[in-house]
Order: sequence, then structure tokens, then C-alpha cells
Amino acid sequence: MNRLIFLWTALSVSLSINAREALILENNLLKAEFDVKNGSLIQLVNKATGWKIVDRASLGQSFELLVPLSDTDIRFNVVKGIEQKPPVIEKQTGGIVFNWSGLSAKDMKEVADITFKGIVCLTENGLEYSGEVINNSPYPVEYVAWPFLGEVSIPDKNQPFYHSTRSDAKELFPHFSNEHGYWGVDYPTSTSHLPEHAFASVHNREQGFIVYGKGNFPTNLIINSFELIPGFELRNTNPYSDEMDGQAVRIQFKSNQVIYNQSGEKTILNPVHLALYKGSLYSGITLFKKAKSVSVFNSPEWIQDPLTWQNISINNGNELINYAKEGVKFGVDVLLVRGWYRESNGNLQEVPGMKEAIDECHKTGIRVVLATNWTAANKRLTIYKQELNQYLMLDPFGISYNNSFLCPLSKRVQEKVIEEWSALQSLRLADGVINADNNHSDKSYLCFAHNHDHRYGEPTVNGTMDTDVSMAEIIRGYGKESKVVLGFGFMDMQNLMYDGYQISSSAPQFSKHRCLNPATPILSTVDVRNARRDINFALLNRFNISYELQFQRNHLEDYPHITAYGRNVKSFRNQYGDYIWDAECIGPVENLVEGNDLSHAMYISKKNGKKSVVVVNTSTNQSSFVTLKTNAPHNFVYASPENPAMQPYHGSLEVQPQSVILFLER
Amino acid sequence: MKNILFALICFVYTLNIRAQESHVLENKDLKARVHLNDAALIGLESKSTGWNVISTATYGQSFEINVKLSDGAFHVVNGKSQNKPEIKINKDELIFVWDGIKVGSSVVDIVFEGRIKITDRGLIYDGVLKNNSDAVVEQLSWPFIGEVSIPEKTDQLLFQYMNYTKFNTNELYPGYSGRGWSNLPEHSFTLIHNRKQGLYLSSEDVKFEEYIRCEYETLPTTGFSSMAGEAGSKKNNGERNQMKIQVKVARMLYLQPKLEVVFMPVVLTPYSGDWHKGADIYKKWRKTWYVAPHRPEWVKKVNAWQQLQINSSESNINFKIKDLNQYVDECVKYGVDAIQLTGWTRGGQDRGLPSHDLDPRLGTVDEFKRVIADANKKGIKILLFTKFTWVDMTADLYPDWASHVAWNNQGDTCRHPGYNYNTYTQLLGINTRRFGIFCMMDKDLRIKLHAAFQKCLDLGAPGMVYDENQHHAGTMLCFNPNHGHQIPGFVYKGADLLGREFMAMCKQSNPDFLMVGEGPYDIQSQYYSTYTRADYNHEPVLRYIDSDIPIACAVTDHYDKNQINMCLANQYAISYESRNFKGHLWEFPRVIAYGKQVDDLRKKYSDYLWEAEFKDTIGAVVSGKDLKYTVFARKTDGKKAVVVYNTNTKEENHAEISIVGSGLRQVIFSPEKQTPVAFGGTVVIAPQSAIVVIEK
Repeated sequence: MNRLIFLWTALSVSLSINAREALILENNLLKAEFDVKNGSLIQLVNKATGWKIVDRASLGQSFELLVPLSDTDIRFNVVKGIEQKPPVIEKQTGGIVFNWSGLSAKDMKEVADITFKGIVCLTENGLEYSGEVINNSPYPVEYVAWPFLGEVSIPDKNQPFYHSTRSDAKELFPHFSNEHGYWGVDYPTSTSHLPEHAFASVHNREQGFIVYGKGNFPTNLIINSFELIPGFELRNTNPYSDEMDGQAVRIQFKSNQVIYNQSGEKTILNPVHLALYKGSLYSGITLFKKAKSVSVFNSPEWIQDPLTWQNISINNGNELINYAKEGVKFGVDVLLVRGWYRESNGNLQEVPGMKEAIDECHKTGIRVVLATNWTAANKRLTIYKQELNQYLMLDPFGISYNNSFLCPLSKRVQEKVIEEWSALQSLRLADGVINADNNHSDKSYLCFAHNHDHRYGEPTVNGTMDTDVSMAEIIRGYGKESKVVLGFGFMDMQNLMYDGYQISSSAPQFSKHRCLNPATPILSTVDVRNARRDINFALLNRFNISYELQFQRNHLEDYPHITAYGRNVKSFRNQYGDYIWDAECIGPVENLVEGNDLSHAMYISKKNGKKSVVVVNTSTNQSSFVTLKTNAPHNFVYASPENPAMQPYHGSLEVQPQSVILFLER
Repeated sequence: MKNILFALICFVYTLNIRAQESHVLENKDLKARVHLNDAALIGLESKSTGWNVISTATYGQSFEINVKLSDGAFHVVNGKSQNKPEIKINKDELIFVWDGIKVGSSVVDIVFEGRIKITDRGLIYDGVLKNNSDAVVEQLSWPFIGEVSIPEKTDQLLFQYMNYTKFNTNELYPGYSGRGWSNLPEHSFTLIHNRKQGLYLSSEDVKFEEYIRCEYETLPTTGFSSMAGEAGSKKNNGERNQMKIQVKVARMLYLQPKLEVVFMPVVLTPYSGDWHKGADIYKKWRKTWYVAPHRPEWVKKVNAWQQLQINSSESNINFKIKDLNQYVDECVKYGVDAIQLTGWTRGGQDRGLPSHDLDPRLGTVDEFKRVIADANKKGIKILLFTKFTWVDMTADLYPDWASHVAWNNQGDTCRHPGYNYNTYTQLLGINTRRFGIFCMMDKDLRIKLHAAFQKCLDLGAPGMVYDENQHHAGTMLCFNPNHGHQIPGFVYKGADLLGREFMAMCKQSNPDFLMVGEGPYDIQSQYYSTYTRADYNHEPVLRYIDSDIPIACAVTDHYDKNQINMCLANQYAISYESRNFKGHLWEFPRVIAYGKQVDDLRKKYSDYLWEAEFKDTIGAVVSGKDLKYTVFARKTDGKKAVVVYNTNTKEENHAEISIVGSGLRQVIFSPEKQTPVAFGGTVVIAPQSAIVVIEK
């Protein structure tokens, strides 16, 4: 006890010990209380809202390690922090250092010489969890759960409670979204992972906390997990009470950092931030945005404009020319081209007539962006059997995850990528590339091959980023002022070196992408069967339209109404560019718009600071009456792509199905 | 006026021409019109409802054939592009012969004899194909239904097929489903219907002689282009109405050069009524071939199960064999009859397959035998969880089994990604135990699997649950030339052979050994009983087809009485699975107490609720909010029972119940109040509660 000292910081942080022998980290934002006997977090309070995230001290948890036992082949050997000897505790400015050493678990014959040093610090927005594992035992340490919250209490049982990431949103209450097979889990379980999902926010409409890794290029994979204990009361429905059939009801949260630490190794954890906020999910995303770096390079000017794209697939240059001729008629600015190269035995080859075709496209004013796939391999080729199959991404058993993508961490693969792709003339001539990265296909998160120049179990995204950076430099070297390098939005951190991306998330996730990267060019595909919806959502979120009108054939002339509407929207965006293009997209705002089946986004003009609101009627059948909730309706006018002239706004307005209204502040 | 008259004359003339060029095949239910120039099915009308499945004759199609030439070029050839076939017209049958198939600019020496016959069962398509060429005939769609029109007054058109004891459902209208398919004979039959009428399709194949994919596709018509993209284009299903559905009965042949194939008959017939009427067509045909297996007495009576995992592929050793006694005693206490024990094999559940040796970390074989025998004495049956479908590619035994793994048509080994257990790394898929998918047409494999199965029999257990017996992870056909089967081999046929061979082994070792499968397809129910997982919204198709098949169904949640009531309503045995089958029965005391009440009731009235004929919703009219109901008919005298339950979890609901045509006295009781009282036609049912009305 006498080792404990009080520390005060300039941030009004306090570190104290209270009557129940708990250490407290506290500032004006939060209060976190740790049990000195076992280091468990026994209380966590969001002071801005009063939400006791961890409320029941009896449910407090500290950390967990997975230490598979090779001698008895017990892989599910979990070292539970609260069952260990009391940690040695040190203080540091605004933080606590817990040292657990000599760890044990029920299936271990003896204490293992493993030390886990866990550090918790107060930050401006919440807590930072960092630490290290020093492993002198004969066993590996596969992952570390740190932070580990023994409960995430439901702040308000009258509204849904979610777990959201950049890519999705899953309900935690009242219908816990169980996504793992019942055979493999004791309790309903939901997970997300970093860095691919960028962040994990736990929230309702009014408050939440958000978890993310520190830094742009984390070296470890993090699996965030939520478990509903002791299970559902009714089918897919959580218990409402604090106790069910004699057990405490809770949702446990862990941030499991996958380290594959081997015997004799020391591993430094990527710091994980747990930031608390008041407000909607977007308030949480703003905290994440503040913490991340921003792109430092300047994209070519042409991609900053509102553009119309078309996704096409070709077999030869003539087909590209034909698409360009058609595109000109229908207002297309850029063709995004697949099928422009073939894999022959040994190298890549362009289809016939590419040079002439790209020249021809440029003459008609159409830009060409070529689809690439840096690390994909064709297993039917002889070279694949001769060499490339050595570079497949392997699982811990030495079996390949898939036969299509090569390990991007391998230096040989990186060299091969540069060698093969740099030889293609079309890449020099075209206006840029859009690359399909290996987005963890077939679960290839990590690679365990011993001959790929990387550590055992290294995240493949680290290699993907390296390859992307190298290739982006090469492509930009062909014409820095004009060439663009795009991706498919695999990871948020790719925006540090990409000029934009074609979004592959579903529409409900769009606003998060825009909020994360307000100015990034994002393309959104327009499908034949939902063309109005897709165009409207592109308008709503400041995305570019990218036609992919594939329904038996992919020709714009087949769909006159779709292309006409696309041109209307483009012209509308040009007309009101100050409001909805050269403006900051704020996204949806609570209680701003009233009406059925409506989605909306607010913008603030960079030029004059005026507000505008884009409102979409998502109904396919019904008109909707939209009311802008403002005290000064007379300050607003409205317009639409079909009727672009400004009209005075007097109150409720009828919006046709699948249509848009733009409100503009005078 | 002259112009109108001229047009009318032309129209009548055209009709005459058409009448001469087509041939009508009809029975009491349908009238089909086939074009004689190309065998296109240009009309298919339901006589009872007037629905013409092919409303536009120009949409009619004959066949489609996919051919891969010896130079590797792949062609999809439409029957209408071919020369006029030779035609033989018999009274009830048309035979078309195409001697040589035009593929691109050349004619390939393929002879296709396609037969269309009308019988009292419906329109039957079969035939013969001789491939005298060097090409591979990959696929033949026969019949090819060029249009499935939307019947009048259709709110929803569904494509349904039986899978895992229930229906898989795709909405064809007004939703847009793109493309999808059912597999025949795996899925028994396929219905395309609007709940008032439908089209039934099935292959009359009870031995898996031919793999057929019954494939629908939604395509745009010319009207779609001119509408898509308008603000009101989706109003009243506008865009959707400008699409059409076609259905191909694709025979997945991969017929190699110089070989011949005789097609299994495919029957299609319209019917009037809801899905039960479609299923009745199958039931009637099923009576001609189905043979029920011998089943032990205990499973014929009301029974309840527990599923329990002892070990997982990540070595989460839940308990040891010696501890199993404790679970057995809990079963005795709570009135549970059987334990489905998973993960007892080497490495735990979904690891080390296909080894069926006891994992030595759990105990000894003798110990296991003793526990099984002791449990038997206490009336508790230990059902061994087994799996013979895969080989664990990470296991030491893999090299001994690798040669039995199926290959796809590219010559690649067919793999399954493995399953996820316990650790977050495995839950994410980083270190799953990948499987090689067995080709069960390999006789040598089956002999080795017999030895593995014999180990289960030798343990003295009263039964097994063969998990994942019902699928092969999408591997339908095997192209491995070293398995002794024709290329390709139909893996399902091998699985059927294995099931029958297992049954023969049981007869030798223990005739009362209960073989249970996981949601087996109907042909498998000739040797496997059923374990399934379902919620109360499912249609109990398998139960409707067969009232006697033992079906056990999982109950997992702490107070999900609806799930118990569903078991009562569908004559399913309850399989208790607390903590996702890692827990004790006492962990969810409320649900087990209620389940016991239900089983006590079923035992008391087993002639009405267990040994009776299951009618699903046929034979009673029940109205009220949030209610589900089923009807049983006592086998001895046909007296009815109606089970009604209120699915609302918070509010009681009022039920009006009428047994159709009943003039008998009716009484009502419930799991909580099992003494019958007179029933006057209405009752208030508490949340998540059930009542039973019977005819006395």
C-alpha cells in the first residue's frame, strides 16, 4: 500500500486509491477504477453522460492471454488475469503500470515464465492501453486481451445499442447479433477487427465509446469481441434483467491483440485507445479522425471534380473505343477498365490495341483508369507451379489460405509485382489505376510461411500497404500531375496513399465513409436494378456515380432514363457545387428532417459557410412529405435535379419516390 | 375497316399455322403445347386454375446444351438454333432426335433424343444423349421452361425446396432474386408457387443416378430498359413486371467423349392450393419406393435429448469421460432420454476426422464402454456424434486418406475451410482445420469408413448422430480418375451407398442401433432419423411428408417456450442444448421445467400428439393474433387434435379454433393444466403458451 502515490497532472488527471483498495484514473471526462489486488477494471464511468460502462465490481476483469500448450495439445488454454497473483503496480504520469509475472492456468502443470506488463494511461479522450509480453516459457502466446471489460452495461434499455465499425453495424441490445457458429462458442459472440474495420464503436443514439489502434500502420491484428453471458433469454433476444437463472447478465468486451509471440520473444503491443464520447456515433468517429494522420500528397485536380464513371470489361482495344464513343454521348468522364491484360506463362500481356484505344479515348475526352490486381496469381500457369506457389499465404499448419493471392510480405513477391506491372505500357498511358487488394480473402489475415521474409503470423495488410505504396510511386512517376491511384476501400489507412476508392460497403455505411474522409473522391456503383437509389445515395454522400449497368449486357444506350437522371444529377451538382461539392459533408443530423422513408445529409459550404441539406425519399412506391426542422424556414430555398431552379420553401414539401430535394440556406 | 379485317384474317391464319406446328399433351391437370419445329415448350396451362405458366409462346424454349470442345472452347448452344429434329409422335409422347449439334460454325457428333410424355403424374421429360465426339457435354437443360409467368392475384411468388427438414425459400416476385437453384434429387422436389397454386418439379430418381440443378433466372424484357431509372419505375412493381423468370432443369452431365447417358425422368405439373398440395404430389410418388428402416422402440415413444460437447477442435476439454456419469444422472433427474455426445473423437469436434477413436485425453475405451453401458442401464442412451464426410488436412492421418478426396473438374482437390471454435484466432478463421472433401463414390474409401464406423458400434452405444451427412460442401461431382467411378462420380450417390452399407452393418452388430443424421434429405431417411435446428416460423415439410420419422430439434435459449411449443406442434423430440451444448441441464431450469410438462402431456396423449398422422395446418381453422397451429389425426379412428400456441412473448391472445367438419365433443388442455375440460371454440392463450384441443 505504501507504494501507492498520488499524482496530479496538468489535465486535472487524478490517480488515487480509495477505500475499497482501488486505484483511480480520473479526469473531467471519465473515472476508471482498478482493483489493486488483481488489476481488474471494476468501474468505468463516462462523466459527460453518467453512463457507468463497467458498473458491477464483481464483474471486473483485467486481461487474458491465450497460451496454447504444445505438450498436451491443449490450444484453448486461457490465462485469466484475475486468477493470477496480484500484480506489481507502478505509477507513471497519468497512468498505471501492472506487472503480472509467473502466469498459470488450470491446464498448465506449472507456472509459466511469462510476464505481462499492462499500461493504462489517461488521454485527452479516454484511456490508452499498451503493454508488452516477455515470454521465457516453452509456450507461445497467441493473443492478449487488453483491454478487457467484464461488462459493458446497457446505458438505456429503451433504445437499441450497437457495435459499429467503418464497415458495418451490429446490434448488441435488445437483439444481440450472434455471428459465430453455436458449435464453437459458449455464448452469443460478435467480433470485429482492426485495422481493417478502422474502429469499433459501442453506442446508442446519445453516447458511446470507440476503440481504435494507435498509429497509422499497426503491426498487429486486433480482434474485438463481445459476448452475451449467460446467453439469450428468448430467441435472439437479450435478457432485460441483471440476472438470469442465477447468473449475472452482462456483455463482455475484449480487445484481443494477436501477437503470435514465440518462446523467448518480447512483444510490444500496439497501443489501443478507448475513447468516450457524448453524442451520436459521428461524435465518436470524430475522435478517431482526430487521432489518425491525413494524406500529405496532392491528388490531380481532375479527380477532385464531380465525375461520372463507368465500369467496363473488355477483350480488346476496339471494345474500349466503342465504350468511349458511347460514354461521350451519355456524359461519362472516366472509364474504369477490367480485362485489359491477360496472364500468359511468365508475364502479363496487354490485350491487342490498348495503346491506340487509350489514345482514342483521350481524343474523345474520356479518361481511362485500369483495374489492377498486384498480388493475384493464376494457378493454371506453369510459372505458378514452378515458382509462385512458394509464395502463397500459409496458415499455421502450412496449408494455403487460397490459391489466388501471393503473400505481399514476401520481398520476392514485391519485386515480382514491380517487375511484371512496370512492363505494361498501358499503365504509363492511362490516367491511373484502381487496385483490388487482397482484402483478407479466404481469411488470409496473417501469413505463417517461414520463407517469406516476415515473422511467423505477420499481418498480410502490412505487406499490402508496402506493395501499394511502391506501386503508387511508380504510377505517379508516369505523370504526377495527372495519374491517379485508387483502391476499393479495403482499409481506411490506405487513403494516406490512394487518391480515392470505389466503395464496396452497403448504403447504410456510406455516411461513415464520408465522415471519415470528407474530401476523398469516392466512387459508388450504380446497379441497373436500383439505379435511382444508387444515384441518389451518391448525391447524398458526395460520391461519384460509377455506372455498372450489367443486366444481360452493359451498355448505357439500353437505359435512357438512368443515364438521363445521372446527367441531371451531374449538372445539378455543378450548379450547386458550392453547397454540395465544395462543401463539408456533416452527414445526418438528429431532428433536422421530418418525414417518412427519408435519408438526409447536411453540408456546410466552404465558400460561404451556408448550410444545405440533401434529402432522399428512399421509398420506391410512395411520395413523402418532407419538413425541414428549422425556426427560420424562410431562410431556405429548395431545388431538385429535375427542377434545378431555386424555389422558396414555405413548409412541408412532397418528394416523389426515389427522388431528391436539396434545401439551401439563402 | 378493311385494314382491321385484313389484320384479323392474318391473325386467324397465324393461329392456324401455329396450331399445326405445335402438339398438345394433356391430362386432367394440365395442357402443354410443344412446338414441333424445335421441341420448344410454348404453353403449360393449369386446367384447374387457368394459369398458363408460359404466357407468351415466343418465350418458349426447347433445350440448352453446354459443350466444351477438344480445343478448350466453351459454347452454350440453344436448342432453337438447331436444325429441325426428327420427330416421332405417339399418343402421349413426343420424341425429338437431333443427330448432330451445331456448335458455332461446325456440327458436333452428338445425338440427343429428347422425350416428352404426358402421364397422370404430369409432363415427363427424359431421353438419351450419345456423345460420339471428342467434346465434353457439360450440361443439358431439359426441360427448359422459357417463362414462369406471374399468376393473377399474386402477392408473392416463391421458389421453395425441401432442405434440412424444412423449406428453403427464394422470393421470385415481387422481389428480385437474380439466379438460384435447387438440387435434385437431393431436395426431393421444388415448388414455384404463390400460396394459391404452383408448379411442381421433381426428378424421379431414388438412387442419385443423375445430378440435376433446377435453376431459375430473372431476366429483363425489352420493356425494362425503357422504364428503369424513372422516379416511379418501381411503383406497383413496375420494373419487376418488366422482367421474366425462366427455369432450366439442368442435367449436370460432364459427359466425356464416346459415352452415352440415359436421363432420369423429370416431372412437372401444376397444382392448385398451397404448398401442402405440392408436397402431396411428392408424398404420393414417395409411397411407391420409400421403405422405412427398423427403429428401436425407445425412439418411437415420446423422448427428449441433450446435446453435449466434451471437446472441441481447439481442445476445449469440457469434461472427461468419467464425468459423463454426472450428466447422465442429470438426464435421469430431468426426464431426458438421450445424450448426443459431440467431440469424443481424437482431437475434438471437427478435428482428426475421419478417425473415430476416442481421444485418449478424455479417458480410456474401456472406461467409455462402461459409462455407455451404465447409462443404458439407467435408461439414458449415449448417441455418438460421428462424421465421415471429411478428412482433416492438418491431422497426421491425412496422407492415408488424401487419395480419397474429390477433385473438381479442374483437377483441384476439393477443400472445406474447416470450422471455428473457442479461440478468437480460430473464430476469425486464421487457424481452422481445413478438410478434404471425400468422394464417397470411391469404394475403397467406403471400406475404410466401414472400419471407422465399426469402432462406434463396438463401443456398445445405442446410436449415433452422423453430423453433416446431408451435404458435401458444394462438391456434387468428383473428377478424380483414381476412384473407380465413371467421370464424373455423383458424390451423393456414394453417400447413399454408404448409408445403406452402414445400415447393413447395424443389422449385424446391433439391429437396434439408431442412426440419426443432421437434417438428412428424404432419400436418406430410409436409414437415418433426423436431428434438426429450426425456429417456429419454418414450414415442417419433412414432418408433413412422414409422420413417423423421428425428428429431434434443438432448444438453446433460457426461456424460449416458443421453441418447446414448436416441438409439441410438430412432433419433434426436444434436444436441450444449454450454453450452445456445452452446459448442464440445470443451467436453464425454466425451459427444462416447461419442456418436461410438454413431454408429460405428449406421453399422456401420445395417440393424438405423437403416434398420430401429422396434417400441419390442414383440417382446422384457427384465427387470432400471433398464433401458430398444427393438426394431428389419430391413426386408429382419425379423431383430430389441434395444437395452438401464442408466439407473442408479452401479450396473451384470443384464439378461435374450429376443427373442419367436426361434430364430436371437443376438450381442451395445456401443458400446465393437463386435465381436459370442454371446449367451446374460443380460448385466451397466455404469452409463449400452448393449448391442445382434441375430438373425443
